[in-house]
Amino acid sequence: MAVALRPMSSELVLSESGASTEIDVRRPVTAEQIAEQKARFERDAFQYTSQLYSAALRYTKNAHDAQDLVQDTYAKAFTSFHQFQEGTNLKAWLYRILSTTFINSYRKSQRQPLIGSSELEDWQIHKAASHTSDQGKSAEDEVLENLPDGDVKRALAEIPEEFRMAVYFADVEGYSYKEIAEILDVPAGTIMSRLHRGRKLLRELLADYAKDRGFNKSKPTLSTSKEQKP
Amino acid sequence: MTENFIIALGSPGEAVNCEQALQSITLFIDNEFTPELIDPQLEASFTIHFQECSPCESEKAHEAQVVKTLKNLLSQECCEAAPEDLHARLLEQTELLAAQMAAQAATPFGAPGVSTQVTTTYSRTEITIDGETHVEIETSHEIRHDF
Repeated sequence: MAVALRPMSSELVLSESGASTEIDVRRPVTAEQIAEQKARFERDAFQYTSQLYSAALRYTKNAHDAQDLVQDTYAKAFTSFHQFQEGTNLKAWLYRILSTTFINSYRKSQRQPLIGSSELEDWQIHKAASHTSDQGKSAEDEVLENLPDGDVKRALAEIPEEFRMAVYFADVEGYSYKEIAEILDVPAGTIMSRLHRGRKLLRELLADYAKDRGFNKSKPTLSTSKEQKP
Repeated sequence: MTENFIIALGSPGEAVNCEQALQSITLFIDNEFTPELIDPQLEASFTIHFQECSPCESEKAHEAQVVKTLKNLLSQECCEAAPEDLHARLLEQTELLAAQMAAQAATPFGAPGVSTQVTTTYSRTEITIDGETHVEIETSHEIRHDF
Protein backbone atom coordinates (compact mmCIF):
# COMPACT_ATOMS: atom_id res chain seq x y z
CA MET A 1 0.00 0.00 0.00
CA ALA A 2 1.44 3.31 -1.03
CA VAL A 3 1.23 6.05 1.51
CA ALA A 4 1.49 9.51 0.12
CA LEU A 5 2.73 12.17 2.45
CA ARG A 6 -0.06 14.61 2.71
CA PRO A 7 1.02 18.16 1.87
CA MET A 8 1.67 20.15 4.97
CA SER A 9 0.91 23.78 5.46
CA SER A 10 3.44 26.04 7.12
CA GLU A 11 5.05 24.55 10.16
CA LEU A 12 3.20 24.93 13.36
CA VAL A 13 4.50 27.18 16.03
CA LEU A 14 4.06 25.14 19.13
CA SER A 15 6.39 26.74 21.56
CA GLU A 16 4.80 29.05 24.03
CA SER A 17 7.90 31.04 24.74
CA GLY A 18 8.87 31.58 21.15
CA ALA A 19 12.43 30.63 22.05
CA SER A 20 13.26 29.44 18.58
CA THR A 21 17.02 29.30 18.99
CA GLU A 22 16.68 26.88 21.87
CA ILE A 23 14.34 24.74 19.82
CA ASP A 24 16.54 24.61 16.75
CA VAL A 25 19.37 23.24 18.81
CA ARG A 26 17.22 20.26 19.69
CA ARG A 27 16.28 19.45 16.10
CA PRO A 28 17.78 16.08 15.27
CA VAL A 29 20.49 16.27 12.63
CA THR A 30 22.49 13.08 12.78
CA ALA A 31 21.15 9.73 11.67
CA GLU A 32 21.37 8.51 15.26
CA GLN A 33 19.38 11.45 16.56
CA ILE A 34 16.69 10.97 13.93
CA ALA A 35 16.49 7.26 14.70
CA GLU A 36 16.25 8.06 18.39
CA GLN A 37 13.48 10.61 17.80
CA LYS A 38 11.59 8.12 15.65
CA ALA A 39 11.84 5.38 18.25
CA ARG A 40 10.73 7.72 21.03
CA PHE A 41 7.84 9.01 18.91
CA GLU A 42 6.62 5.52 18.07
CA ARG A 43 6.87 4.44 21.67
CA ASP A 44 5.23 7.52 23.24
CA ALA A 45 2.88 9.02 20.67
CA PHE A 46 1.40 5.99 18.93
CA GLN A 47 -0.44 4.85 22.04
CA TYR A 48 -2.88 7.75 21.63
CA THR A 49 -4.01 6.98 18.09
CA SER A 50 -7.50 5.90 19.08
CA GLN A 51 -8.09 8.86 21.38
CA LEU A 52 -6.93 11.23 18.65
CA TYR A 53 -9.12 9.47 16.14
CA SER A 54 -12.11 9.83 18.43
CA ALA A 55 -11.44 13.55 18.90
CA ALA A 56 -10.92 13.89 15.14
CA LEU A 57 -14.31 12.30 14.55
CA ARG A 58 -15.87 14.93 16.79
CA TYR A 59 -14.27 17.59 14.62
CA THR A 60 -14.83 16.17 11.15
CA LYS A 61 -17.92 14.02 11.74
CA ASN A 62 -16.82 11.45 9.18
CA ALA A 63 -14.35 8.58 9.30
CA HIS A 64 -12.45 9.48 6.13
CA ASP A 65 -11.61 13.05 7.13
CA ALA A 66 -10.96 11.95 10.70
CA GLN A 67 -8.29 9.50 9.51
CA ASP A 68 -6.68 12.15 7.34
CA LEU A 69 -6.74 14.61 10.22
CA VAL A 70 -5.05 12.12 12.52
CA GLN A 71 -2.46 11.36 9.85
CA ASP A 72 -1.71 15.07 9.36
CA THR A 73 -1.52 15.52 13.11
CA TYR A 74 1.04 12.75 13.47
CA ALA A 75 3.08 14.10 10.56
CA LYS A 76 3.29 17.53 12.17
CA ALA A 77 3.87 16.05 15.59
CA PHE A 78 6.77 13.94 14.34
CA THR A 79 8.51 16.76 12.49
CA SER A 80 8.03 19.04 15.52
CA PHE A 81 8.72 16.37 18.11
CA HIS A 82 11.98 18.01 19.15
CA GLN A 83 9.85 20.92 20.37
CA PHE A 84 7.89 18.73 22.73
CA GLN A 85 9.08 19.12 26.28
CA GLU A 86 9.61 15.77 27.94
CA GLY A 87 7.68 15.43 31.13
CA THR A 88 4.76 17.54 29.92
CA ASN A 89 1.48 16.08 28.73
CA LEU A 90 2.10 14.46 25.35
CA LYS A 91 -1.53 13.60 24.68
CA ALA A 92 -2.59 17.22 25.30
CA TRP A 93 0.24 18.37 23.01
CA LEU A 94 -1.06 16.08 20.28
CA TYR A 95 -4.61 17.33 20.81
CA ARG A 96 -3.34 20.87 20.41
CA ILE A 97 -1.78 19.99 17.06
CA LEU A 98 -4.96 18.19 16.05
CA SER A 99 -7.10 21.23 16.87
CA THR A 100 -4.77 23.65 15.12
CA THR A 101 -4.58 21.41 12.08
CA PHE A 102 -8.33 21.09 11.90
CA ILE A 103 -8.86 24.82 12.18
CA ASN A 104 -6.18 25.67 9.62
CA SER A 105 -6.81 22.98 7.04
CA TYR A 106 -10.23 21.43 7.41
CA ARG A 107 -12.63 23.91 8.84
CA LYS A 108 -12.31 26.18 5.82
CA SER A 109 -13.69 23.50 3.56
CA GLN A 110 -16.45 22.43 5.88
CA ARG A 111 -18.55 25.58 6.09
CA GLN A 112 -19.03 25.26 9.79
CA PRO A 113 -21.34 27.68 11.49
CA LEU A 114 -19.16 29.34 14.05
CA ILE A 115 -20.20 31.18 17.09
CA GLY A 116 -19.07 34.73 17.17
CA SER A 117 -19.76 37.71 19.35
CA SER A 118 -22.72 35.95 20.91
CA GLU A 119 -20.30 34.00 23.02
CA LEU A 120 -19.51 37.14 24.97
CA GLU A 121 -23.14 37.35 25.90
CA ASP A 122 -23.20 33.81 27.22
CA TRP A 123 -22.45 34.80 30.67
CA GLN A 124 -25.08 37.52 30.55
CA ILE A 125 -27.66 35.02 29.36
CA HIS A 126 -26.64 32.70 32.11
CA LYS A 127 -27.21 35.47 34.61
CA ALA A 128 -30.93 35.08 34.13
CA ALA A 129 -30.64 31.61 35.64
CA SER A 130 -33.24 30.61 38.15
CA HIS A 131 -34.07 27.48 40.09
CA THR A 132 -35.44 24.57 38.10
CA SER A 133 -38.78 23.20 39.21
CA ASP A 134 -38.97 19.69 40.64
CA GLN A 135 -41.02 18.63 37.60
CA GLY A 136 -38.32 20.01 35.34
CA LYS A 137 -35.68 18.03 37.18
CA SER A 138 -37.58 14.75 37.11
CA ALA A 139 -38.52 15.21 33.45
CA GLU A 140 -34.85 15.54 32.60
CA ASP A 141 -33.92 12.55 34.74
CA GLU A 142 -36.51 10.53 32.87
CA VAL A 143 -35.09 11.60 29.51
CA LEU A 144 -31.57 10.65 30.54
CA GLU A 145 -32.61 7.32 31.98
CA ASN A 146 -34.33 6.29 28.78
CA LEU A 147 -31.87 7.42 26.15
CA PRO A 148 -31.32 4.92 23.36
CA ASP A 149 -27.72 4.19 22.35
CA GLY A 150 -26.27 6.77 20.05
CA ASP A 151 -28.40 9.73 21.12
CA VAL A 152 -25.66 11.44 23.09
CA LYS A 153 -23.15 10.98 20.29
CA ARG A 154 -25.60 12.38 17.77
CA ALA A 155 -26.47 15.35 19.99
CA LEU A 156 -22.81 16.14 20.55
CA ALA A 157 -22.24 16.15 16.80
CA GLU A 158 -25.08 18.62 16.36
CA ILE A 159 -23.93 21.36 18.70
CA PRO A 160 -21.56 24.04 17.35
CA GLU A 161 -17.91 23.07 17.21
CA GLU A 162 -16.62 25.34 19.97
CA PHE A 163 -19.12 23.96 22.46
CA ARG A 164 -18.73 20.41 21.19
CA MET A 165 -14.98 20.32 21.65
CA ALA A 166 -15.09 21.94 25.09
CA VAL A 167 -17.60 19.31 26.20
CA TYR A 168 -15.57 16.53 24.59
CA PHE A 169 -12.29 17.49 26.22
CA ALA A 170 -13.88 18.08 29.63
CA ASP A 171 -16.41 15.29 29.82
CA VAL A 172 -14.75 12.51 27.85
CA GLU A 173 -11.07 13.29 28.35
CA GLY A 174 -11.50 14.77 31.81
CA TYR A 175 -9.26 17.77 31.20
CA SER A 176 -9.33 20.84 33.41
CA TYR A 177 -10.38 24.24 32.05
CA LYS A 178 -6.75 25.27 31.97
CA GLU A 179 -5.71 22.22 29.96
CA ILE A 180 -8.57 22.68 27.49
CA ALA A 181 -7.71 26.37 27.24
CA GLU A 182 -4.20 25.37 26.16
CA ILE A 183 -5.41 22.81 23.65
CA LEU A 184 -7.90 25.19 22.07
CA ASP A 185 -5.82 28.31 22.64
CA VAL A 186 -8.53 30.35 24.31
CA PRO A 187 -8.79 31.72 27.88
CA ALA A 188 -9.94 29.39 30.66
CA GLY A 189 -12.95 31.61 31.37
CA THR A 190 -14.11 31.07 27.82
CA ILE A 191 -13.84 27.32 28.32
CA MET A 192 -16.08 27.54 31.36
CA SER A 193 -18.61 29.50 29.38
CA ARG A 194 -18.49 27.12 26.39
CA LEU A 195 -18.75 24.11 28.64
CA HIS A 196 -21.72 25.47 30.50
CA ARG A 197 -23.46 26.44 27.29
CA GLY A 198 -22.45 23.25 25.48
CA ARG A 199 -23.86 20.96 28.15
CA LYS A 200 -27.04 23.00 28.18
CA LEU A 201 -27.43 22.68 24.40
CA LEU A 202 -26.72 18.97 24.63
CA ARG A 203 -29.41 18.50 27.25
CA GLU A 204 -31.91 20.51 25.24
CA LEU A 205 -31.25 18.36 22.18
CA LEU A 206 -31.63 15.15 24.15
CA ALA A 207 -34.96 16.40 25.46
CA ASP A 208 -35.99 17.25 21.88
CA TYR A 209 -35.06 13.79 20.62
CA ALA A 210 -37.10 12.24 23.39
CA LYS A 211 -40.04 14.45 22.53
CA ASP A 212 -39.75 13.58 18.81
CA ARG A 213 -39.70 9.97 19.72
CA GLY A 214 -42.86 10.53 21.64
CA PHE A 215 -41.21 9.52 24.82
CA ASN A 216 -43.62 10.23 27.56
CA LYS A 217 -44.78 8.19 30.51
CA SER A 218 -48.39 8.38 29.35
CA LYS A 219 -47.62 7.25 25.80
CA PRO A 220 -45.52 4.11 26.06
CA THR A 221 -46.62 2.76 22.68
CA LEU A 222 -45.28 5.72 20.78
CA SER A 223 -41.91 5.47 22.43
CA THR A 224 -41.38 1.87 21.40
CA SER A 225 -42.59 2.29 17.84
CA LYS A 226 -40.21 5.10 17.02
CA GLU A 227 -37.28 4.04 19.11
CA GLN A 228 -35.87 1.78 16.45
CA LYS A 229 -34.67 4.67 14.37
CA PRO A 230 -31.70 6.43 15.90
CA MET B 1 -2.37 31.72 25.91
CA THR B 2 -4.36 31.38 29.07
CA GLU B 3 -4.87 34.69 30.65
CA ASN B 4 -6.16 35.42 34.08
CA PHE B 5 -9.87 35.54 33.97
CA ILE B 6 -11.48 36.40 37.22
CA ILE B 7 -15.18 35.84 37.06
CA ALA B 8 -17.24 38.40 38.86
CA LEU B 9 -19.58 36.46 41.08
CA GLY B 10 -19.80 38.92 43.95
CA SER B 11 -17.32 40.53 46.27
CA PRO B 12 -15.46 38.87 49.12
CA GLY B 13 -17.16 39.48 52.46
CA GLU B 14 -20.57 40.10 50.91
CA ALA B 15 -23.29 37.52 51.16
CA VAL B 16 -23.91 35.56 47.97
CA ASN B 17 -27.39 35.68 46.42
CA CYS B 18 -29.17 32.87 44.57
CA GLU B 19 -28.35 34.19 41.13
CA GLN B 20 -24.63 34.27 41.90
CA ALA B 21 -24.79 30.84 43.50
CA LEU B 22 -26.50 29.36 40.44
CA GLN B 23 -23.82 30.82 38.23
CA SER B 24 -21.12 29.18 40.30
CA ILE B 25 -22.55 25.67 39.93
CA THR B 26 -20.50 24.86 36.83
CA LEU B 27 -17.34 25.71 38.73
CA PHE B 28 -18.37 23.48 41.65
CA ILE B 29 -19.25 20.57 39.39
CA ASP B 30 -15.97 20.81 37.53
CA ASN B 31 -13.98 21.42 40.68
CA GLU B 32 -12.62 24.60 39.16
CA PHE B 33 -12.46 27.05 42.02
CA THR B 34 -9.00 28.03 40.90
CA PRO B 35 -7.29 31.39 41.42
CA GLU B 36 -7.16 31.90 37.64
CA LEU B 37 -10.92 31.81 37.44
CA ILE B 38 -12.29 33.15 40.64
CA ASP B 39 -11.24 34.99 43.74
CA PRO B 40 -10.45 32.12 46.13
CA GLN B 41 -11.92 34.08 49.03
CA LEU B 42 -15.33 33.75 47.42
CA GLU B 43 -15.48 29.99 47.66
CA ALA B 44 -16.35 30.11 51.36
CA SER B 45 -19.22 32.53 50.70
CA PHE B 46 -20.65 30.13 48.12
CA THR B 47 -20.27 27.14 50.36
CA ILE B 48 -22.21 28.97 53.07
CA HIS B 49 -24.97 29.90 50.64
CA PHE B 50 -25.41 26.33 49.45
CA GLN B 51 -25.56 25.13 53.06
CA GLU B 52 -28.28 27.63 53.88
CA CYS B 53 -30.33 27.66 50.66
CA SER B 54 -32.02 24.37 49.88
CA PRO B 55 -33.29 25.31 46.38
CA CYS B 56 -29.72 26.19 45.34
CA GLU B 57 -28.33 23.10 46.99
CA SER B 58 -30.92 20.96 45.22
CA GLU B 59 -30.09 22.63 41.90
CA LYS B 60 -26.42 21.95 42.44
CA ALA B 61 -27.07 18.30 43.31
CA HIS B 62 -29.25 17.84 40.24
CA GLU B 63 -26.73 19.51 37.93
CA ALA B 64 -23.95 17.36 39.34
CA GLN B 65 -26.02 14.23 38.75
CA VAL B 66 -26.93 15.21 35.19
CA VAL B 67 -23.35 16.09 34.28
CA LYS B 68 -22.16 12.80 35.78
CA THR B 69 -24.69 10.89 33.66
CA LEU B 70 -23.70 12.83 30.55
CA LYS B 71 -20.03 12.13 31.19
CA ASN B 72 -20.73 8.42 31.47
CA LEU B 73 -22.82 8.32 28.31
CA LEU B 74 -20.35 10.43 26.33
CA SER B 75 -17.42 8.30 27.44
CA GLN B 76 -19.24 5.14 26.42
CA GLU B 77 -20.28 6.40 23.01
CA CYS B 78 -17.38 8.60 21.95
CA CYS B 79 -14.51 6.15 22.12
CA GLU B 80 -14.09 4.82 18.60
CA ALA B 81 -10.98 2.73 18.05
CA ALA B 82 -8.68 3.87 15.27
CA PRO B 83 -8.95 1.59 12.23
CA GLU B 84 -6.06 -0.86 11.75
CA ASP B 85 -5.43 0.71 8.39
CA LEU B 86 -4.71 4.04 10.07
CA HIS B 87 -2.07 2.46 12.31
CA ALA B 88 -0.33 1.09 9.23
CA ARG B 89 -0.48 4.47 7.49
CA LEU B 90 0.99 6.22 10.51
CA LEU B 91 3.89 3.80 10.78
CA GLU B 92 4.67 4.14 7.11
CA GLN B 93 4.37 7.92 7.23
CA THR B 94 6.80 8.14 10.13
CA GLU B 95 9.29 5.94 8.23
CA LEU B 96 9.04 8.25 5.24
CA LEU B 97 9.42 11.42 7.28
CA ALA B 98 12.40 10.03 9.16
CA ALA B 99 14.01 9.05 5.87
CA GLN B 100 13.42 12.55 4.53
CA MET B 101 14.97 14.08 7.62
CA ALA B 102 17.97 11.80 7.32
CA ALA B 103 18.40 12.64 3.63
CA GLN B 104 18.20 16.33 4.40
CA ALA B 105 20.72 15.98 7.21
CA ALA B 106 23.12 14.14 4.90
CA THR B 107 23.38 17.06 2.45
CA PRO B 108 26.20 19.61 2.96
CA PHE B 109 23.65 22.27 3.78
CA GLY B 110 22.44 20.20 6.67
CA ALA B 111 25.48 20.96 8.77
CA PRO B 112 24.50 21.91 12.30
CA GLY B 113 24.79 25.55 13.18
CA VAL B 114 23.72 26.79 9.78
CA SER B 115 20.52 28.74 10.05
CA THR B 116 19.70 29.56 6.44
CA GLN B 117 21.68 28.69 3.39
CA VAL B 118 20.71 30.22 0.06
CA THR B 119 22.19 28.71 -3.05
CA THR B 120 21.73 30.60 -6.28
CA THR B 121 22.59 29.01 -9.58
CA TYR B 122 22.56 30.88 -12.84
CA SER B 123 22.42 29.44 -16.27
CA ARG B 124 22.86 31.46 -19.41
CA THR B 125 22.01 30.49 -22.90
CA GLU B 126 23.38 32.42 -25.86
CA ILE B 127 21.67 32.07 -29.11
CA THR B 128 23.17 33.51 -32.20
CA ILE B 129 20.96 34.20 -35.09
CA ASP B 130 22.46 35.16 -38.48
CA GLY B 131 25.78 35.74 -36.76
CA GLU B 132 24.58 39.18 -35.65
CA THR B 133 21.79 39.13 -33.07
CA HIS B 134 22.51 37.74 -29.61
CA VAL B 135 19.71 36.54 -27.49
CA GLU B 136 20.63 35.85 -23.94
CA ILE B 137 18.38 33.87 -21.69
CA GLU B 138 19.30 33.99 -18.07
CA THR B 139 17.64 31.90 -15.44
CA SER B 140 18.37 31.74 -11.78
CA HIS B 141 17.37 29.17 -9.20
CA GLU B 142 17.36 29.86 -5.56
CA ILE B 143 17.47 26.98 -3.16
CA ARG B 144 16.78 27.78 0.44
CA HIS B 145 17.62 25.47 3.29
CA ASP B 146 16.23 26.51 6.62
CA PHE B 147 17.39 24.89 9.78
